[in-house]
Amino acid sequence: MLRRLTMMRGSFAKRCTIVIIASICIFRSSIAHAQTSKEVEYRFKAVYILNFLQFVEWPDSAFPNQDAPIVLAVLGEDPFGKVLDETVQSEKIGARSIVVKRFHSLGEFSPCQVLFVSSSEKESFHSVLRRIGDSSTLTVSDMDDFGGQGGGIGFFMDNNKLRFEINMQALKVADLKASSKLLRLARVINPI
Amino acid sequence: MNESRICFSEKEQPRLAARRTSLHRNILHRRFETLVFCMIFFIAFGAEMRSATMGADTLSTSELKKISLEDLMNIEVTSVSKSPEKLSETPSAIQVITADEIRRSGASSIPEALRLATNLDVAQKNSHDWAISARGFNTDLSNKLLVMIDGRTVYSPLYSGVFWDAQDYELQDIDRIEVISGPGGTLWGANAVNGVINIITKSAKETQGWFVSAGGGSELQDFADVRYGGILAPNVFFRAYGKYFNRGDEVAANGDDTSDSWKKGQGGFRIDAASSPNNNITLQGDYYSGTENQETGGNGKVSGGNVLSRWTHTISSESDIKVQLYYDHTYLLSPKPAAKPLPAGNLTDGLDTYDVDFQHRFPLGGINRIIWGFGYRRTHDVVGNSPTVVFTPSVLNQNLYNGFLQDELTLQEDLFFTLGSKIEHNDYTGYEYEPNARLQWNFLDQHTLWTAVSRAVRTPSRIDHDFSSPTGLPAPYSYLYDAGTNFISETVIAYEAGYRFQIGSEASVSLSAFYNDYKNVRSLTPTPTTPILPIPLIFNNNLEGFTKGFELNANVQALDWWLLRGGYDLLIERIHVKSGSSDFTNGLNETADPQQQFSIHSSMDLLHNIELDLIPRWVDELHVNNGPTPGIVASYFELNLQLGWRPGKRFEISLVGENLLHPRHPEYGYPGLGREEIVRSGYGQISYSL
Repeated sequence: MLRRLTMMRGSFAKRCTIVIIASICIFRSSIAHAQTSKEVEYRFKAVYILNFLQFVEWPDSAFPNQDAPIVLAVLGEDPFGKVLDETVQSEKIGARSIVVKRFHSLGEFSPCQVLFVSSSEKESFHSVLRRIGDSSTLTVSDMDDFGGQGGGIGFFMDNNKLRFEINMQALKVADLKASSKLLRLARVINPI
Repeated sequence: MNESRICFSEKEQPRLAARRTSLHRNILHRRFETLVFCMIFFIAFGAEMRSATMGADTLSTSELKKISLEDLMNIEVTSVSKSPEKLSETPSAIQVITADEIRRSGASSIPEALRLATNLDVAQKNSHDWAISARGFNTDLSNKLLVMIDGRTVYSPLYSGVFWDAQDYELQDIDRIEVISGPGGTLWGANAVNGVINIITKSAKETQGWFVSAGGGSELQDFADVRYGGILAPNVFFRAYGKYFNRGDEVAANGDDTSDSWKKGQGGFRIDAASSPNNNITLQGDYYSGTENQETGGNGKVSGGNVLSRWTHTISSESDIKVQLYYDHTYLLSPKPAAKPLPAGNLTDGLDTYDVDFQHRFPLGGINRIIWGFGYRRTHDVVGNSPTVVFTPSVLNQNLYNGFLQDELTLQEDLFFTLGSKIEHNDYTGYEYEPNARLQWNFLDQHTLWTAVSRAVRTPSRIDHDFSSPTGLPAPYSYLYDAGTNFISETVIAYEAGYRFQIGSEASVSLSAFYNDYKNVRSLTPTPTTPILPIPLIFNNNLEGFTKGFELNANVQALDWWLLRGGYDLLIERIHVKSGSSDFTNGLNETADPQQQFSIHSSMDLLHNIELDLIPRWVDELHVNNGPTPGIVASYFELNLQLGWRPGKRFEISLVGENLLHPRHPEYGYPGLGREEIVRSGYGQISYSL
């Protein structure tokens, strides 16, 4: 009985090895494709931003006139590429179309309704907030703890899923109203 | 009959044939391994070619824009593959036990976690054995449930049932348990007659860092769990875990300790490489070993291990290919008591399973969603017979081939019709067919009606076909039970309907009704020609009949801090002997089920990070029929609770009390000295994550 047991264990190890080697052959081919998952992540973030545009209300004073488009700007290194433009082209919020602008640095800044702050601007984050002041600009970013540090909406990952937090105080200062549909799905910080 | 537990005794066959088959077996083994190797290289090569020509189109921006924000938040961004199929859009009676429910319930084993599915009948027999079934037939040799862990089948071909003492995992790392009541033959194959249980573990990415847990108590005397998860390379995650526990005795009807304590250790690993949204590879394995004291004397052993690999190749949100292969080895040693004039002895069983499965999902013509696949399984079973329990032949290789095809047609915007079938070929009965048809109507935004007709099959297991129990007495009384070589598959035609609805985001209710028509259910035919005692009793297919009932399940977020889940089941069983045939117990041996049962899981988040969960359950009486006269297990009402303090996600202390309302109570078994009762017990646990 004991001999049979040891014989069994030997062949068990051998069979396991075969399965493992076989699997490594399959798995080897997938390592080459490490690039595209970031692109997918930003596709998601672009669609989330489109949703934010739909469920946040800007005061009339945020726009020069009734026909002015909503300006969605990216500050710093652009992680979206053409994905952001693709997502918002031909979309309308109410009667307003959406226009995408890019600011390579804070010096190029001009008034906008949504400002996506790239994580490349992490160090100059507070200068950005000062520059915006209390104008009706929704700041969005995926840098660490963006909402906690005073940003408007911050992206974070939870168990592989894309989530966001909303800083109510920041929205209040900017005179922005977020619909309950959006608040229900967000992690809310600084509630008022 | 005095015992449902079959007594086994020795009967030797000539050994020449065995030696020849042994050589034959080695050649077949090698051929099989070569075949598997070739298949793998072919697939790997194909994957390389395919990836090189693939575009980056998984979920395109326009597809993403069509999905609501709420649903987007449920998609795993880094392994983007499926469109989210909400629970409310499945045309079957499915319940999902979540990781959080398991954590809060105080469950410390898989059978205890399964109590949380209200569509299952879960009965604890003794310290290490459980009887679990859905929609009836929860007999000692209950065989109508298909159980899988991460796609690996865990039932034993010895009797088509599950040895629950051998199934375990790091509970903290279980993502969810899907429990389907009702046949799942088309997608899952034979043995999924009354239900399918799918235990799904978390990916390695979700279990990073350290998790350490330890504790002890009165029945679960001491235990410790450790898991570490880390990164092997960019986008390649792994975890490794080890666990150990020591459980004490339950008691006999008079309150005395029985000697059925046991202890077990298990360890394993999982590696997930999700380097692109198009390809996911998983490699995982476990090994366990335990010893169990037996109430009837002696020490039993269980041990085993498995290695599984799975490759998912995503083509689009509605289309993917999955290939899975695994090797599983189980070993058990079960001491069998003497049955005069035969001595005591050990029954051993060593089972090797090799399994390869392929599955492809794709849309067609805008209204079809097709899924098809095929698979092959080979089992190599070696039984060491004991004096009173004999399987002939003692070494058996079996092949199982299967193919399936299913199409979901979108008839109108909210009306879906599914039609499909599986074809299997097994060594005992040849070809078996398991077709099903389902209709689903999402008639309002949060309301779904569904109905289904399915045929499912329970193919013979070794006990139906190869088993005999010698008595040691002279002819014609040499055998108590004998397998029937004419044993055919049991079949069911199941008619089901269900209604599922949600009330805002606060409550959801699900109601399922069923009528199952069974034919050729296992029976024990007495041998009429033997004077005085009509033995041997031959396994035959002389029972038929129906079961019907319904299952109600509801989840209510009563208050912000109070979640209530609960369910009620009604089961009416009418199984009888076919006219003109006979059965030793007149149709009563295959069923031991409560007519009604209900349970509630109340989860409360109290002040100061304290969590309190209360789980009362009530189970109707069981009529247990494997004895000289019908026996009863009384109905019982019991309560489990967990009180936990969880100041942050990293640290938790909990106190668990189980079966608190009575000092002891039986849940299963024929009344008498052999039946064990489950005692009131408790344990404490500390867990820490880094």
